[in-house]
Amino acid sequence: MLKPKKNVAAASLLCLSLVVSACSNNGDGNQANPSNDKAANSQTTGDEANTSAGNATSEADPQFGKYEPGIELTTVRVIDELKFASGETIDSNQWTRTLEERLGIKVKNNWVVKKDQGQEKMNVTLASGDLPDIFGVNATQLKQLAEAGEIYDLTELYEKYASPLVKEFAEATTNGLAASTFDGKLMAFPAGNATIDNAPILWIRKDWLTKLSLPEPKTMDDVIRIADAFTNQDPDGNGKKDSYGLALNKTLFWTNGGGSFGILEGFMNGYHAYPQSWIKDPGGNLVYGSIQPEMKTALAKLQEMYKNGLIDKEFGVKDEVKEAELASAGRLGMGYGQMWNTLFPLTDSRKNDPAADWQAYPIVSVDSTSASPQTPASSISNYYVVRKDAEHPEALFKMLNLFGELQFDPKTPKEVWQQHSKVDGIEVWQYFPFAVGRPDKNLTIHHNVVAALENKDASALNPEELDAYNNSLAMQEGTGDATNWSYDKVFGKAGSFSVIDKYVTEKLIKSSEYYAAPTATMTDKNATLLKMELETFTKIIMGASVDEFDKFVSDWKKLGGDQITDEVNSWNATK
Amino acid sequence: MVERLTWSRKAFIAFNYTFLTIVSLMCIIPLVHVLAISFSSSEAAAAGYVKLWPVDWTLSSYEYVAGQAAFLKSMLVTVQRVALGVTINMLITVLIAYPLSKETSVFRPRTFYAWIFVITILFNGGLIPTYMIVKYTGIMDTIWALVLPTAVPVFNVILMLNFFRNLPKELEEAAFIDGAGQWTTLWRVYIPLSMPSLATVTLFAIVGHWNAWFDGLIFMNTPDHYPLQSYLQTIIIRQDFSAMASADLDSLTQISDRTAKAAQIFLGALPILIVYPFLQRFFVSGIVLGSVKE
Repeated sequence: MLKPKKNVAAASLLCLSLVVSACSNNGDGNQANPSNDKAANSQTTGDEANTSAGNATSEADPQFGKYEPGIELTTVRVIDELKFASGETIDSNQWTRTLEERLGIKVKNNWVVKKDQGQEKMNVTLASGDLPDIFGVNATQLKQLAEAGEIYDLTELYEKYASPLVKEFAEATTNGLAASTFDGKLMAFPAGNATIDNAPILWIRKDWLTKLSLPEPKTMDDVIRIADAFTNQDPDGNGKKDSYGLALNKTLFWTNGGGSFGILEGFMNGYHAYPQSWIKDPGGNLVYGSIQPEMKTALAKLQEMYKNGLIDKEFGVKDEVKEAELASAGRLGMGYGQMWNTLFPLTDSRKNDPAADWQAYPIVSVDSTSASPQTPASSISNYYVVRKDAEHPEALFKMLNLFGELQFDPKTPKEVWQQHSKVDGIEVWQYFPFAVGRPDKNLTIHHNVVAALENKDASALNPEELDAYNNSLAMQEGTGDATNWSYDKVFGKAGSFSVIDKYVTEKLIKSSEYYAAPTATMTDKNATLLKMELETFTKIIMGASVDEFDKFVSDWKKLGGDQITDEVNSWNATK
Repeated sequence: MVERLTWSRKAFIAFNYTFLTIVSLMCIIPLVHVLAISFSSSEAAAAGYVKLWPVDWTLSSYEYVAGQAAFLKSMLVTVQRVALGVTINMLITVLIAYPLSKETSVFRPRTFYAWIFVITILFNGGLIPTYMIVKYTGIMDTIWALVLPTAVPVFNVILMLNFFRNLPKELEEAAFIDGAGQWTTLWRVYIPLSMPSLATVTLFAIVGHWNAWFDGLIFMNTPDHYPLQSYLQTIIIRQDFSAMASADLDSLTQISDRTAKAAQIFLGALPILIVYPFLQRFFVSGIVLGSVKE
């Protein structure tokens, strides 16, 4: 009996030693890295001169010159559901051919993954140190890469190689370049939008307003009166009290990955409260919007609305899709949301009831000061970065330039544009790995479509604008279906972009002031704090004492909020 | 029998039946709901009219799925994976369980090997090391990345091992006396006697491979190579709009396609639903037999 026991002991000891040695190996590897990085870094700076000189043809024209002989690059792809014409694939299509022909660049995809799993796959790739030459990351990953010294300093390359058009795009993204800069060095190229696209919109069923002969909302009191009427005056005319006045989904807010319809940003902004946003206080310091006293007033009002049955009793367990079921079933008449809500999720409402006419209105204020719609600090879909020892770091800009030229330069012939953009309903442009765009493109579409509708002349429109124009035209002529309707309500004359246009011309928009990647304490604590915030606000709306808010504020400060505020302000002082 | 039931016994039985009925309903209702949605029109589904019976009966979502190349392709990958993976699992399970079921006096390093396997239950390498091993083994983006990392199902090995130990030793001795070696004894005596247990373990292996999705996501480099559950995950998980490019507006119009999703979920679960009843009769006896030592 003794012997087996000894064996057990020996075996477990052996296994233990394996574990221990594995751990210590790991440690060594980590420690060795920084010095390696430095060595590699200094080497690449030396190399750069060589490679540039080696490819004379590409250097003769820094922005559009072709590599002779051609070069090969690696990247990784995070894609939408893509469609392909027969014979085309993600590795061989119109754009790969154009890239080779025009720039002599062959792009190899190390992996291709659909959007939802992109972050997970990217994180594994980053952790395993297996970086491709050029790739797109999010803000947190960018910060990690920059701090670990894994990526190329693009400051000089951006000046030399980026075309004026591409520079214009980068500068027009809200805070994009600032968020890509670390210690004064540009570490990434930001591709994304102006944040105006994310300003809150008030969606109301206009047909119900007309039916109950209610005026369009001018103040918060009007909004509550409308919600009350939609609940109690039987707007759907079925004789039952089964409708709700205000949509609300369980995430309460859109920021931090919440739903886009049935959110509260616009409502809160009406009370001059800015949830989950960093705003300047009168002293010029940055403060967290969710803990300001204005929030308490707004929450008290919501509580009253909930008590009076204006809000769905079950909102606490419904995401936006579930909440929108009420709209689709004709039991909901109003909701704060985003500019695209008629495309999703309200299009089903129109399909079920062709009379349903959701209309975008600007958010309104509780007093004489106009409401400022809040937006996130930035809306960057991709930070393009280059591995620090990539052979041709400047190739990123050449590719961006080419995309900019073929997609946005008015001098590009229409058939070339079309060929690279949308063929037979297939979105060819999405094949390109490093897409950029005019950040305020959507607003421009709206302007051009409205002008074309007034002049009855669509000849100046690009094909994308033409699509929007045709949708609106169909609605004007009374032949439109639910799809035409949903686009018209975004880009058309009275679409949600007319509201955003008003926000922009009246300079009402209030962006969050903090645009850098999450601070150290945010990374550690923010998830907990956000959870606490959501729980407290939900409880208050559902009837808990409004004074819970004060307790939340002091808890928030104690549990890391004060520390985060300090970090944000010291960042603000040095930016 | 009936008149002998005491009051408390009756109460117990009543409680048992109610409780188990509720639990079964909780399992069945979501499935029926999904099935009902898949046969309904998309407008009715979007408005939440569909409960347990289809509204506006239609087969259009199934027609849509039939034309969906990605769904069929991933189904094929999963079938391949199950066929290959289960074969490897079963072969290895039996080959490991048999020697480990021997006494230490017959197979000296038995305890040592047993511990090596047990250790892998208690600790695992974690995501990144596993990823790197797969990568440097060179099986990334191939079917092998789905079947080799899970080739040794230790839990199943322990089940089989205990079952083998339970078989009368006299059978083995008789086989040896008749001149059989270890291989013959395993294939001709042990395996035929272990059918219930083998069926159970096979079922575990099938379900495990059928339901796995995360490894497909991490180890496969193109959506074309995704097994079914990874593919389903991509269509069911809600898109995060917070980083949405403005050009994605078109894709928004396709999100609320709930009926098609329901049809794909149901089709994805169907094969297991069909296989289960046939293997289930072995199930209870298989686990219980394997768990009792002499």
